[in-house]
Amino acid sequence: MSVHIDPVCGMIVDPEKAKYKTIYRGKVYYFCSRHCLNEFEKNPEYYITHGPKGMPHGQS
Amino acid sequence: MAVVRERLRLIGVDCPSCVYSINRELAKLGCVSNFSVDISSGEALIEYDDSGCSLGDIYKAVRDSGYDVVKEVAVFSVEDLDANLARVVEEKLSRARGVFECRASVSTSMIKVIYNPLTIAQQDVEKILLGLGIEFEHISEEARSGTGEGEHRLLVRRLTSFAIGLSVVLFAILSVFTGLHIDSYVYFLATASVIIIILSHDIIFRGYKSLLKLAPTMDSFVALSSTISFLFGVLSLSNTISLGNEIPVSSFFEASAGVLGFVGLGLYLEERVRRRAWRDVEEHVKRLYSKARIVSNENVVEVNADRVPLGAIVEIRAGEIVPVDGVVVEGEGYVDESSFTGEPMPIHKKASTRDPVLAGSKLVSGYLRVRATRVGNETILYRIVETIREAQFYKPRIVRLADKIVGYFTWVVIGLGIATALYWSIYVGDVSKAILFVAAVFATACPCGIGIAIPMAVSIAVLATARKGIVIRRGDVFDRVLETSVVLFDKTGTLTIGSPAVKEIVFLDGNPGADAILSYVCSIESRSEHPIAKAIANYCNEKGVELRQVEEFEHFPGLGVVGRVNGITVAMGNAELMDRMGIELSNNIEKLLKEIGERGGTPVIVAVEGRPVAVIEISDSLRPEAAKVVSYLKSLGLRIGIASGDVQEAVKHYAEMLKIDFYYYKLKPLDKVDVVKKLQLNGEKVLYVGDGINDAAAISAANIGVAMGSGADISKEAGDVIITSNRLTDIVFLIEFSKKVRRKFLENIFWALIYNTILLPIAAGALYSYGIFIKPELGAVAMVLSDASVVLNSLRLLK
Repeated sequence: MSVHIDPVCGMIVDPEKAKYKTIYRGKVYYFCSRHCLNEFEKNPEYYITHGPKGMPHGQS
Repeated sequence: MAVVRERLRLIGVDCPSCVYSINRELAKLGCVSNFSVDISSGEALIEYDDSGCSLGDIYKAVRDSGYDVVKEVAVFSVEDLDANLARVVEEKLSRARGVFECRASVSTSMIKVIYNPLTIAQQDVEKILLGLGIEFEHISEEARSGTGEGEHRLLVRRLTSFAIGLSVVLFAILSVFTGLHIDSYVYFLATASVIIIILSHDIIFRGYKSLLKLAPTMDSFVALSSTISFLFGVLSLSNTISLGNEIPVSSFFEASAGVLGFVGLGLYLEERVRRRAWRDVEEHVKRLYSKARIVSNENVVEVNADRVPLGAIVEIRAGEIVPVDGVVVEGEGYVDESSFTGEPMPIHKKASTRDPVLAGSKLVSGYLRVRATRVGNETILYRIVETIREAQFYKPRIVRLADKIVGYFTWVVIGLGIATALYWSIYVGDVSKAILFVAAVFATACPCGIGIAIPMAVSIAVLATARKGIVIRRGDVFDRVLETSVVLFDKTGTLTIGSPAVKEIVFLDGNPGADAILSYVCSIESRSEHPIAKAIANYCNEKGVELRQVEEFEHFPGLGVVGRVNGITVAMGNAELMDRMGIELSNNIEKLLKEIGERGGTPVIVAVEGRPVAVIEISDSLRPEAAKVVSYLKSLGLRIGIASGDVQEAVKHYAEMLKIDFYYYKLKPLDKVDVVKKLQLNGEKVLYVGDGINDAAAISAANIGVAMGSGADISKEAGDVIITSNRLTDIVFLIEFSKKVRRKFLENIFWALIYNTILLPIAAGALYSYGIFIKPELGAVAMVLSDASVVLNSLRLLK
């Protein structure tokens, strides 16, 4: 099984079970939660270049 | 121009982003200068320029954004509400302070006012109506739900009186033909008459009431004929007057019992149809509103959907019906809103934009948590149902024409009766002959001959059309169909088949070849459950495309799918998916996408290994018979229009293809009602053909509403006509058949009139000096025969 890392919080995500995912620049990204996905969608370039930053808090 | 300040209480507002989405809708109005909300209480203060927009616009904007305001509803019934008065009422009330919305319906003679209880009270609304010089009656909530115990008892009453009436008439006919008169039966008949008169007291009361108002109806004649003959029967039975042996006393009772019994059956059937229709609607709504799961602190409690507190969070899983109106606060998914929009394609809803969802729509895939803003009888679905309910509330004028003719006829007969009585009792001086001839006049001139001329033709016609898969719900349909001047069609599911299908696949270059591309496409789409994927999968099935092993499959809601087949990456979806994949689209492809959009289709781009190789056009397709039906209607000189919830391009495409006179697009269910009403105000008689809940209200508002059978149950309940065969050509049949039925009406009335004009003077004793006169009993037989001829003539419609 390939290992995928949530680009926002850095958690390991199982793509088979991941509910939240998106595609950006031809690559699929998996997320542990909706919060992380939302955070990523706001500024994908930032997370791709800077790497995971930890859990975003209090966003809706 | 004045700035108005209005205090509202908002429902469901819990966060600044909610206020933002309401603000966004309000900004579109361009007249709101200030809008401030206290989020904790939902109290809002709004300032707007009343020359730019009305409180109604603001109300609509708030509801469109998925929230609601605290409000109250008052419904009034008005006698003789015409299109003009309805417009005046709507205009005046819609502009009145504190009124959110006012709808006046000509077809139901009802005025419905939704108002802001923080600003005005019901009395204020009533004052405005009184100021307009309108007489009205307020209808309470219970009366509107209107399926009380009382109605059930009424049905029993009608059936009982029919059963008794039938046996009385059968007995009397038997005794006339066999010449047997058994005296003691007279008492049985008298008792029967008494029972029937008591059971039908409401018809008699109504009949005399309209007679006193000098507007006699069929009820009046039924009342006159039955009570007068009953009175004579009683008088002669008690020996107060002597009629000699010429008239058996039984025929008086027979006449009164028979007439009331048969009229009772007609009323019973009518009431049964209405009651059952209404029960179906209620049940349908109950099904939709089954249960809701409320989430609080990660605990889930299941409650009845109409008991969800406003502001509660409700969870909805894939495949479930949305139980409340509200806004998405968590999750995302595809929601099938075809009940409201008629469009079969599910819509992507997500929390980040606080998308609104409506009770009665279905979550096809995904998971949503929704904050409830409207529950139970506040939901949009319920409002649509209520419109239908109001349509059921008024008394259908099944025998309008018959009523009119019988009205004149009644005066003639009453006059003739009086003249006969005066002539024979005073001029000739023979009281017993006077009574004999008056009785004969009434027995012979039983209203049934004319009264049943139309209802009979109608019932036979209803039977005949039902065998063809057309259910007629209201008796005056045949007559009103022929008055139509405009035919308005819903698009999706009515003029079109209503489900997406692959229309064309454009292969962009030869590599890797059409067969290989198809094989990739079909293999991957077989994994998806999206409606577009299903359309493609159907196409693959038909073509017998061989499926390969799918190694990876990802579905991106709102974008498309990406998968791996034989180690090759295949992406399928919209332009945004391609953009995110980093795949460039050439100008040619862009042009193709635009063209497909203009045709009202949905394009799906297929990319193999990062290169676009094909574009699949998915679209709904026209019913094969649509063009034929439209050109037939045009040949009758009717104007044809489309009222659709779809986007402009798609509607325009089909309108041009079918040479439709005019079209409206992006309509919400109640917008369709407005379109119908606007046409009606211009004096048009509108025949509306639709399917789906989104058409139900328009179907109710139209002069004739036709529901296509594939549609949702609710719209069927709204229609005057239901086409269960799902064939559009049945509209042609309906019109042609209505012409036939009208001919039958006229024939029946003609024969009934001929019969009455010849026999009534004889019954009145005009030819007595030649020894020719009609005994009441023979008059009754002649009446029965004339009825039979009407029935037989009507039966020929079944051929």
